[in-house]
Amino acid sequence: MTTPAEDAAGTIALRQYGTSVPARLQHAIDRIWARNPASCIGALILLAWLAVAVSVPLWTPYASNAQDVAHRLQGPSLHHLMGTDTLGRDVLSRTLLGSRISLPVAVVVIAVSSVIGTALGTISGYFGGAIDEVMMRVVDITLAFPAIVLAMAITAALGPSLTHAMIAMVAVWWPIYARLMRGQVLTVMPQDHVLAARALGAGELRLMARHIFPVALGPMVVQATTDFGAVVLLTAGLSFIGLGAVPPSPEWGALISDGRQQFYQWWIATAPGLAILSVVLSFNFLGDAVLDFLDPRRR
Amino acid sequence: MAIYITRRLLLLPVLLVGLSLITFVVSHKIPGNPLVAQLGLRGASNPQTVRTYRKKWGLDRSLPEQYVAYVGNLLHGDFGRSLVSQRPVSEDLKQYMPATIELAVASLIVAAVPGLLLGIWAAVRANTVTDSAIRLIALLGSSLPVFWLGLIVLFLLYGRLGWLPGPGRLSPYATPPPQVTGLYTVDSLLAGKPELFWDALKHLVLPAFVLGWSTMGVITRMSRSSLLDVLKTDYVRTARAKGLTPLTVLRRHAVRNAIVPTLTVTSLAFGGLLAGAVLTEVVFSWPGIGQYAVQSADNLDVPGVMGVTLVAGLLYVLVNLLADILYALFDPRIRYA
Repeated sequence: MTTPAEDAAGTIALRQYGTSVPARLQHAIDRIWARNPASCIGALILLAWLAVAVSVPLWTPYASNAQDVAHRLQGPSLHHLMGTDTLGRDVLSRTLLGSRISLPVAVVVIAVSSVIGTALGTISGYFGGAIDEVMMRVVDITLAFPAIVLAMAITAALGPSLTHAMIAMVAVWWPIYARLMRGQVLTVMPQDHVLAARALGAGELRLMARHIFPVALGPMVVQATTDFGAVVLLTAGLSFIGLGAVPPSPEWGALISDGRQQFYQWWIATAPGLAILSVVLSFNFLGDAVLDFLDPRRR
Repeated sequence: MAIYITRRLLLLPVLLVGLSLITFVVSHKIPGNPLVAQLGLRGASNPQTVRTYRKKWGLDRSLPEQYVAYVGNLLHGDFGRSLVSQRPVSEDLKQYMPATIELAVASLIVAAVPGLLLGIWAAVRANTVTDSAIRLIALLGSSLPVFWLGLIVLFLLYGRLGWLPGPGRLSPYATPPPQVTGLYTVDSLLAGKPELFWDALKHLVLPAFVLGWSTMGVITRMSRSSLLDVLKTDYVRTARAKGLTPLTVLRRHAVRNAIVPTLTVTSLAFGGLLAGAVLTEVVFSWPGIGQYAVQSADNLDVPGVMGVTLVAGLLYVLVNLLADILYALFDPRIRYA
């Protein structure tokens, strides 16, 4: 729903920027930068991390597991910008390579849990009744555990590995999306376009897939953006306590755990910690901007 | 409102059954032979012991019956036997619980008071540099990995500067006060030992700060946005038009109304504190249930982990219930039916 003033602003914007896709994109970026520069910085940092994750094996001076025991536990220097660890491995190289684990893990966990959650939430909201009741109680119960505790329990039962940690995280994350999607479906279902489609004889699957699901999707995207940071943190946390990625892996939480063993060699934990901080902070900046964008009271 | 609270209370048993069902199912995925794990090799070779054990946990019966036996034992406070400590898990939990409670309460204080003040300050100075700085502090709270922040502050304030003591609840040479509540700060005062109280308090500062920061961020953001909403209302404008000083308007009219949602968020944040406690306790060698859970998980001690999971889940459910009821009490507009 737009107000007349917003319509007018949109018309002016159209005149200024034209209708071609790059021009409209430029317009959107300008507006976001003016309103919330932090989110643009966040987006830039994330793009930079993405570039690193894709290309880093081509240009790091040291391989992830290249040991150099003669130069172990050395502080930052020109040869090793963030120092070396117990086995003389280059901390900065390992941290950069770690992005190839932490980022895909977060993507997969969010993707899988949002697909499961969205599907179950759609079914739950669409059919209602007993299915809905049972499904939402399961959601209540799963959300009743603090995420890390349940993830720990599951990982402990399955045995520690990054895959098991991911399974555990999906198990604690899908209910958030299921509950959100169900609420969305309930608001979209009585809308005229759905009724019209039903009157034209659309089947239930078609109604759900073509007429309800796409309209209800918006808030899911927002939730997913804001959840990325939390998943990165939880992955690192699980690895830190030894229930996620296991040693030679340069996963960030595991690297910080290495740093904990060498308390006075502060540089070992510093680089991976800053990496986590920059990624999570960027996602939080982005999430803040998305919320700003969607919540009219914050404009 | 009575209907709303009744509904919430009726949901409680459903949640509890669900909690126990999840831990039951996960426990049954234990790799290896649980009999040997629980009873030890010698116990498992004694047919008498094995029979008693199987009877107690209903292992000779069907899965649903096993679940009933499991819940029965839980209701009697029997969480099974820890594989690491070789003691009942319930006793372990009793021993580790007070440290976690002390840490969580301290963090909640560290989080709530500055969080509320910062939130108010940011709202009053909305869209200024002060506001942006406070929002950044709040956002940092939920972006910093607690285990890393813990290492960094330990290294700086203890390792380098020596201003604060290192890990643990007390200095290595100190003997804990006689146990009354299990909270060292309280017990030391009860025992009339101020120097011990001081020692315990100094040990509490860093972990409470590290754990509290993220919660403080949540509270700051919530109190800021709800105060901003209140400041736009007609009655605040009226109060200003009457000629009240800005401080009086804030104190008498605005903050009181903005505090309700903040209160709910604070009680919900308690769950987040429990989760963060796991990692904080590991970094600070804090002997609470979080550290106990990690040790158990590392040793594949499933009964130990499940004990913590159940207790944490239970606490979380109760705190959420309390938050909902408080909310309904404080805000008469909430009348779910």
